[in-house]
Amino acid sequence: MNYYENIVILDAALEDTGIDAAEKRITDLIEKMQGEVLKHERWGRRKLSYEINKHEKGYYLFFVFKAPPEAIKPLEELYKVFDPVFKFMIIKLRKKEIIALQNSLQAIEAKAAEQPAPDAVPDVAKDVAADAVEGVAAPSGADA
Amino acid sequence: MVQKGKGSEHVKYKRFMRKKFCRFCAEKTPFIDYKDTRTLKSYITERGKQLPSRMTGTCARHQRELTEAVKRARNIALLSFMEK
Repeated sequence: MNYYENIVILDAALEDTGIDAAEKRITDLIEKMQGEVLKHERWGRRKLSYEINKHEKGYYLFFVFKAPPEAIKPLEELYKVFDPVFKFMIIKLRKKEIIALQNSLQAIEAKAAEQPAPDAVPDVAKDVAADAVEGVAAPSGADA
Repeated sequence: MVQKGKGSEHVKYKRFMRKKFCRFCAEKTPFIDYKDTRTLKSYITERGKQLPSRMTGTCARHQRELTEAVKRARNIALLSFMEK
């Protein structure tokens, strides 16, 4: 099992129901391939830094999942034929990134235990802030 | 400096420069995140090209990691290849 990080850019013109459906289809495929989605975020509609296939805006979806390496091929095949997706990137996480990820997952769990209903999807700004905190916390943990 | 007679002329033209240091080493960043465009933007020019380490003071290892992060961010349209 490897850890992967996946960004998918969907057509920004898509309705919310379409985005839900697309997200479900992706998570379903990951789970079908014995994978497990650890984290999923919606960054929402963003302006692209450059034009891709005549699109100026895109709806960003972000997944972190654990899956066997065989699961990546079918996932890429899906993205190639799946109409709402026009750009995607799957990245295998390395050791240090996995450690940071596990720390952040634990932090989220701890937070969820404190407050029973923080169901809101964290935005990118929050995520970046959380990363900064980890950056400070992680090396001290490594020393101990 | 007196011993090095050659240097004195050179020193006259040398402006005061603060010593550069690698930010990622100083902060002990575990890894450079390609999603963190705010950090990456301080290592690219207005035109979107990456700055050399001799200008930013980044160490060799982190410069390599930075390059990878910038390339990933460009691929997924978080950063541009070229700013018009």
